[in-house]
Amino acid sequence: MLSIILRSLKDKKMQLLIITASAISFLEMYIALFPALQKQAASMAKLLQNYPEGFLKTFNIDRSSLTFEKVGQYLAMEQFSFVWPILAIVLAIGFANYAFAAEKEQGTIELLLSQPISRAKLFISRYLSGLIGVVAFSAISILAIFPLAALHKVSVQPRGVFVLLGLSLLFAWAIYGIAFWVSVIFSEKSRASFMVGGVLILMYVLNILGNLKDSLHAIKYFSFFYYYNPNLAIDKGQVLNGSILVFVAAIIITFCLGLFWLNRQDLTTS
Amino acid sequence: MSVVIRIDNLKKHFGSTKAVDGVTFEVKKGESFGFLGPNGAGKTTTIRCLMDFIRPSAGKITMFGLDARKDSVKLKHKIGYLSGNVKLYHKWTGSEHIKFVQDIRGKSKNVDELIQKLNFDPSIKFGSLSSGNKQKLGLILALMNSPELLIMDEPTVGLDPLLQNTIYQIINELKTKGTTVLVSSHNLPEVEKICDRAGIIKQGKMVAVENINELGQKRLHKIEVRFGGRYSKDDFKISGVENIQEVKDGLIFTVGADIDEVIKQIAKHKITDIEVTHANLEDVFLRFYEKEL
Repeated sequence: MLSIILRSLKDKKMQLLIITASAISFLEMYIALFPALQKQAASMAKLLQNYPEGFLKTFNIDRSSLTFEKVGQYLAMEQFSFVWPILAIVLAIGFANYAFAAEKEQGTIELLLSQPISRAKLFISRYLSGLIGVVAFSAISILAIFPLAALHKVSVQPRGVFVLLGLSLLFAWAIYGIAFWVSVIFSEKSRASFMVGGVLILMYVLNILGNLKDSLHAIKYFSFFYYYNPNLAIDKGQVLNGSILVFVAAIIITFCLGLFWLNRQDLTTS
Repeated sequence: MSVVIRIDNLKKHFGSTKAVDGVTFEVKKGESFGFLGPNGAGKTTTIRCLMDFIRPSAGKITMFGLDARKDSVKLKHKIGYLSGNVKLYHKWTGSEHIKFVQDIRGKSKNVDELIQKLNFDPSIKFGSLSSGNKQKLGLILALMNSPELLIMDEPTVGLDPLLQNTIYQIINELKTKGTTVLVSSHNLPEVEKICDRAGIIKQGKMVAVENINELGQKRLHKIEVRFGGRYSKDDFKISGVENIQEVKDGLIFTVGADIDEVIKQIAKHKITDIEVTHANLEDVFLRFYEKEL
């Protein structure tokens, strides 16, 4: 099992490095800009206060937090409401597709299946290797806030950063869980990616519609993006009610479904 | 002799398509069994069921007395598998593939010998290998842990005759060491070279299981001959000659029996060109197994 995990990580290390480096680069850019923006905090806040309500709701931004006094609020708005989730999604789908959809598409699954290893162990090995990637990305790209903030002499609240790390990790893991299950089902990477992308876009739309229209407010509860509120996490060290439950439930359900599916499935090359 | 593979009424249906429809046969220890049939007959599907890549719709498969699905992990310690079109990781070298398999199965005692015997360079990435060298790597991976049972699905498809012969030689060496071999093929002469018995499959059904000697008697030749002088179609209306067609300055016919008499008859004429080939499997089926279907 360890050999499969290590080999998988070796195969995906470049993707992990590139995506993590991209996240840190964006983070560095935003933190470096923060001291200059802070000096213009009053005018910037005034500008942002005039943003349409719908726009702010779309990115889960609380109007009262638009003060530019704290780096946490600023990072939540710039980095963690948009850039980081996209990078996390790309990474999660990449690792998940590699696990099974790509193996089936390229026919290499036969090498794995002809070895004395059960499907369950194969599933867990591949799941863990991707999870290690997701955890490494989340930890490095978020904990990098501390050295970068110190570098630019910006103060951050450690509790908020750690709560953000926990929430972000669960968010990325839940998406990885869906992508992994889909990778077990499909035999082509492109179809698996489209399916996961479609589900996430639908969730994103549900969150926006639920926030914008009172009559549709309940549909936002079906979206991971509603439960992923980086502003609340980094600024106040809190998460929305039910967030942890929703993400943990999604992780457990998709894991069980993927394992069940793989054990029943005909694993042929596409 | 104990039975290594026992397949009992195996069925595998994909929707309304009956890829395998009630196949039954046994392979004994130390035996080399050919699984013979035209493309689409159900050979690969049967082998994939054996390897637990796909799950049967009905029937039972046991190997070494163990269930192919429930005891899949135990069984794969004993099985080496090679497919006809080896698909491995393009960015990995041969050495990386070998290391990966060794990490899972344990250190190989014969990998260096296999590399040398097959004249294979393991430092090259799989994606850069020729199809023959890809097949060599597949064969090394299948044999490097000295399997008790070797399962090969059309292992020589698309290979040059030299490499084909190397593979036949390796299979024959394994047989002398007591390894049980199951090899699928759509090539009758190939099965004759390496197998003791052969199962004949067509349209998902097992038509017959024959000893290789009996199968040899069912060899069908196709002869195309051009004459430089006078000849008559009637000269060739002799025992075993069928489907005589006249072409410009010659004849084409099939011979379903001993060709000696026919060759002697041809030799009585002035010949400008002659080609004797083994008839394809479809012709063999039509000639010998049509009634069973």
